[in-house]
Amino acid sequence: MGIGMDIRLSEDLRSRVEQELASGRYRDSDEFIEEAVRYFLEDRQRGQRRRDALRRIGRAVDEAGLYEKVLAPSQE
Amino acid sequence: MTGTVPVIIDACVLANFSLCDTLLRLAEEPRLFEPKWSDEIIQETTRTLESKLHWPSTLVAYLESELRAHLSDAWVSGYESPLCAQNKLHAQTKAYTILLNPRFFAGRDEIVWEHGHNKTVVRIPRRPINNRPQVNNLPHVPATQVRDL
Repeated sequence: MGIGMDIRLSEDLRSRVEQELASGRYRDSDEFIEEAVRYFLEDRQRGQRRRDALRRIGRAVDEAGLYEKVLAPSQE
Repeated sequence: MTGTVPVIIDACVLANFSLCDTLLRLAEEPRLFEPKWSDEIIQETTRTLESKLHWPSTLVAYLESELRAHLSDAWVSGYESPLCAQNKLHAQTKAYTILLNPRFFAGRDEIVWEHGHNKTVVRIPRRPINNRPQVNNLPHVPATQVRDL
């Protein structure tokens, strides 16, 4: 049993939610909103993990003194 | 990753790490584009890093494992087609382009931007980047030649 929340949406978003509900893939607006919020939060976490990974890679390459080492045209 | 504009990042870009790092950070929020590559591109990248830029194999393996773990959405497959037989040099690139219908292609030499029915090609000078690029202070990429196709 979830906790009730009063959510107000813009007319545009409300219309799009209703279109999604009309597709029949969701039991009701609660289920749709819950899935949307879960997706948003997970996507944000994935983004944070990607940024952390890029920082780790950059640090490792920098520590190896290879960050700015590039291919000369004659090497390609 | 749900960027709206898929961009093929070729091995010649990925192997030049300062450029690769800059582009991949630009692919994060606010997601200017969605990076894409293939197993073949990554293989060519790792081969280049080891054989031409003399990266330690452990560092190359680390780079690849991190990319696979956290940027798995960038991998494309299913492009294998007769196109590869038509032009060996750029066959893969063409195949990716057809598969993904990207609006941009970022290579070492040029960036192709498709707008409507036209394409604009920006030639990038063939010279190394000497200063480390910063996300908030991106290097200016001079367009030495711009043409509509």
